Amino acid sequence: MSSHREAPSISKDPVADNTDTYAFRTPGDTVTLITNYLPAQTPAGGPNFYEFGDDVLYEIKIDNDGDGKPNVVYQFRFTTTIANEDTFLYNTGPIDSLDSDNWNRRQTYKVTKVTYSSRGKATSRVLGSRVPCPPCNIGPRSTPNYSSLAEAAVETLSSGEVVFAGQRAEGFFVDLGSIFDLGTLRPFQDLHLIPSAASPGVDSLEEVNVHTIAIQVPIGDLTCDGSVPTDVTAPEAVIGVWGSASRQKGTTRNGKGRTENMGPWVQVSRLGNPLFNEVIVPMADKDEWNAVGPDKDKEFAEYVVEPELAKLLPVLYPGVFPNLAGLSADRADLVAILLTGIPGGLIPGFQNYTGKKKADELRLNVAIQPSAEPNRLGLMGNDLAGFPNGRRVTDDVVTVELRAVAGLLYPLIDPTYVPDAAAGGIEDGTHATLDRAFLAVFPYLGVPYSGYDVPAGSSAA
Amino acid sequence: MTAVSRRSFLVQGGAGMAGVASVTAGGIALASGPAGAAEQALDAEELAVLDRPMLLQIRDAAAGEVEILVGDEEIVFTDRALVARVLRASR
Repeated sequence: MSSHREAPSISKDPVADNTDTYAFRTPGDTVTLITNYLPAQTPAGGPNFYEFGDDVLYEIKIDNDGDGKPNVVYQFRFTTTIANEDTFLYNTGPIDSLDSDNWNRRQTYKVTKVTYSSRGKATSRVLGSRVPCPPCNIGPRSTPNYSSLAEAAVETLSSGEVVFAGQRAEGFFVDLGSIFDLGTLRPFQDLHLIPSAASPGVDSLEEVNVHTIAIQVPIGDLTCDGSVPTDVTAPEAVIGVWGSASRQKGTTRNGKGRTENMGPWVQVSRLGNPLFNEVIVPMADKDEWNAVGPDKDKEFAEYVVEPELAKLLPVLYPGVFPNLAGLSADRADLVAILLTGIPGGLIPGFQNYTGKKKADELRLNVAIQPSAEPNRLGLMGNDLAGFPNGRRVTDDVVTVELRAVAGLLYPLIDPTYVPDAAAGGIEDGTHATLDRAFLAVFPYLGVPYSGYDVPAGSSAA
Repeated sequence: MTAVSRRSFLVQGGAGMAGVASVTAGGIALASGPAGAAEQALDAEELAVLDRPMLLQIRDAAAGEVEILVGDEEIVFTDRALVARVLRASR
């Protein structure tokens, strides 16, 4: 998946598992930044419904000078409280408001902004405290009018940012069951080394939930000079974004069901570009990749330069990718897309280049206005406001990255290279039957599925 | 080094922990063996700062390098004698 359980260690620690990161320009000269955690939640989550970890430091980081280190960081720390310790219930009646007495176990959070000077000196400022999370979507009796209930958890901080933290419908879509069955793409599986009849893609993440941290920030709070750039070619128009989760270095268990944590925060998960750790970094290096920052990505760059997946495609689909099979040069196209940004002059009216420093960041040119009619293929679909110019919740990043690895954009580097016909057509096929109700407004990811109603048909019982 | 004195480390280090030692204000076991009586006693001021969990770990026994985790800090110091006592106590 994008980064759901993508590395051996974090796959055993879902509360800290950073699954997706989004960054896109939004109305009012703002950028919306979203990081998701706690992947693949079955909506029927009782009796212990999903929640953020009180012992996890969640962060959204922005690099605005191209060195792979954060210049602006938004930190989120959660606190769980239990109103009634004598009941096993999450709620003892309908939760009709965020201050309902019927809600027994709830979370609030603190938002802190950390800015770093050019010399690396950190300055912290608490932007909000005791901001409420919504409950999980349980069902019509426990959480009636869930949309309104969750909407009440969208809060504008006194400093101007808009925040939300809580359960959402999963936004990422992928045919996971097929792709990890020896690279099968169902619409093209008749061409697979082990063939079967072609069929539509199956969205493995349909009707599951996730926990989202979203913040909408004035553009000037993120750029290196505090400006709202209008010149697409200006270096200061590009920011790099990634999410992370950290745990304290030491943990002890007291034998009475409690843990104690101590020591500095150690990163255990991060995510900039979707699928980077998932399909670029080899198994043995994935945990280390999660533990370091983008400024250390030079040591993983070789996996971008010679991606394993590009070698597998011609093998798994014999005769379908002859030109890709013959492409032996370093993949400078993928280095640009994933590690440095795309320099100016390659795509008319576009650049998101942050310099030679190789760092996996979601690069967003904030001078590019949102699209009136977004194309799911983003830049590949001539929509400059979409992935890999940042990432919107609706972008079909699996298809974009599949086609990029297959060499579709390599002519940007070598105009004499002719991509295989299949490079422009391969996909996992999930978009065709996609059934997601994204929101048109913040926090953009859809209302989570309720435990009563999912799996489909359960509400008829 | 912050929060606690080197002497209190010595006392904690002699608590019979092998490699990693965890102490709290209410659960300190005093050292036995070569440490003198003065080193075994914690005064009220020292006890007062031990109000939160603390973790000691030997990072490099040969170098006598010890790491202490407390609050959100990590403190590293070198004390070959302490490391030797801890290792011997763990046998």
